[in-house]
Amino acid sequence: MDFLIPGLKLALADEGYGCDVAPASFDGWIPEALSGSVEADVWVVWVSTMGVSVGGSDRRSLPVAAIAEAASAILKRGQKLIFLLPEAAVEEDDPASPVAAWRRGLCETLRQALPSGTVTVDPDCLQRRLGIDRWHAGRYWSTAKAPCHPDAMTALGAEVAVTIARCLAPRIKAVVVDLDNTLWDGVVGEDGVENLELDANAAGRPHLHLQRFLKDLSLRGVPLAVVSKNNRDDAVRPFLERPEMILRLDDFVAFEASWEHKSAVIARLVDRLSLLPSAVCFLDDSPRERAEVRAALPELAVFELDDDPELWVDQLVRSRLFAIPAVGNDDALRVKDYRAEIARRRAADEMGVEAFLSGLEMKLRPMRIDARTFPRVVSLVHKTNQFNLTNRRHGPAAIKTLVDAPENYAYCFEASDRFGPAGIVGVLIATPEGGGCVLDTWLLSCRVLSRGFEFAMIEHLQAWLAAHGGVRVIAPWNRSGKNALLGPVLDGMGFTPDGEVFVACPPAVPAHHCMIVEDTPCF
Amino acid sequence: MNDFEKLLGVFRVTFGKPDLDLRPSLSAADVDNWDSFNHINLIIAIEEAFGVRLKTREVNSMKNVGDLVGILNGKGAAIAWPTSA
Repeated sequence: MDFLIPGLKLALADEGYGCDVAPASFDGWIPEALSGSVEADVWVVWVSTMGVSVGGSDRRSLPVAAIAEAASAILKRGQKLIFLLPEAAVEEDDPASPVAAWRRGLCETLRQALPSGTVTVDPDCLQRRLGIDRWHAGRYWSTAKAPCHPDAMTALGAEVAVTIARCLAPRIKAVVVDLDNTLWDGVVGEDGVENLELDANAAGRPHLHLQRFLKDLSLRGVPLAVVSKNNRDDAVRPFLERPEMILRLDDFVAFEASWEHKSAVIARLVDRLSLLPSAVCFLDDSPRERAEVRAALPELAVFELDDDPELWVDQLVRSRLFAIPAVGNDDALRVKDYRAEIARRRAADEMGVEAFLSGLEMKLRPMRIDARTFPRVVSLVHKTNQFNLTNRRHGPAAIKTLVDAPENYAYCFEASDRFGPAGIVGVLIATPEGGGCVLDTWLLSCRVLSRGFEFAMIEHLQAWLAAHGGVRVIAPWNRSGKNALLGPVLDGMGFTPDGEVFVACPPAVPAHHCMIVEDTPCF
Repeated sequence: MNDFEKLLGVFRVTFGKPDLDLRPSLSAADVDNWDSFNHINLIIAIEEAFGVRLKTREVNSMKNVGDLVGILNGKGAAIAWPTSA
């Protein structure tokens, strides 16, 4: 694998990551993975055709069960696994070669056996792009156990680096797209909706190809938004009246048609989506619009589309900006989430915060932490930085001990409002202490801050305390730069410093708009 | 640039040693980062510089730079050792 490393390091640096690479022994990765002795963020494993076929001389079978077990061990430890599938052999120049069928079988077996969460990379794409002559070089197997030409290995290393980078953080989290001459050929306000070119076998082809590309992106969890200089009535007509359109209005989380500067509209949108500008891609056929947006929002990923629409999808694919290696079902949910979040923030902008909150119909459901909610609680305890009182990163075992003690208050909270459910967003764990309790863990997901859920949580704790004859609440605020927002919250409830901790007896819960919904109170 | 200078340049760039000098008896043991990885890099760089293809048998048979020069000259290169060497 040595020849993979230079390209890997270089391309990872390009993506903003430094790395140390430790080559595993040639066939020793399985025991190393099983033993757990390797401290790594990412494993890269290539079961190469040259290796399995011993330089093309044999057609061995794979220890599939052992590979799958090793892969599971890697994933269970929270390490990532990039798995390179067997590459096309030189014999596959002849598609009817038995080697082709054998190799396809290997790939299929591996795909089925590898646990979900494994990120597979098929070297096929790269082989095709490089060309077969620049890939195959059996002599480097003879001299250096390299499955392909070292230059091709460098290119493969770069490919792996992009995959790793995209696994760690998607590069593009949302796409903002123009309408006229971008999603269709023509200008709807001037040419009329019936005259837009949308024939997939003629000039409409590249535009429909782009629509399909964007549709696939949205299905994989990347939200789409329209920003167009148009009258809204004109802008929506092609979506309603032209059956050739692939994208429909409900494929977009936001649809902004106005005569404002696009940069201003996009800036508002990026803010509403709570995204960094660098994670948002802007697609517009007009160099003038791109320049306006780029000047105002230099960090935004303004894509330099070619003059010729025929090249667009090729450009977008080759950029690797949109490569999404592994996607679970969560992401379809995330698109819906974005849509709800935009609706919420727009409502808040329009009506003022108090009126907005009172109309949100917020509900908070306290639930004693149980086996079903446990994994989400563990994840929140590990991930929450901003609204996290004690910042104690309990492991699963420690949390279980706290939850299992019947004298403890150990609740998680499910939130919803009229825009939809937000899932479990908060955790509050308290242990009894002389006439009251001390908060062990109090956290709230950053998606639902500043809505009063924190007050409703304390209100629920107070009811539990009262049932157990307690009043006083001790809050050991582990103050840091990240959780500074707890200061005003504690202050607002009458907590005062007492040595190392903050104390309120009892906390004064301010008025809020969250209704506590509990099926059967447990106390 | 004559073929000797071309070969010298390839060695110096591959091993990252701008002062490296060549002599017929120079071998992997004499250059600290002449490992198996850089050996392949050297072969690739030589093939590209001289427009030749080295066979695995040839790669495995050469024991020092003198052997390499002999093989390359057999493939049409004109590498002449400087008179002082």
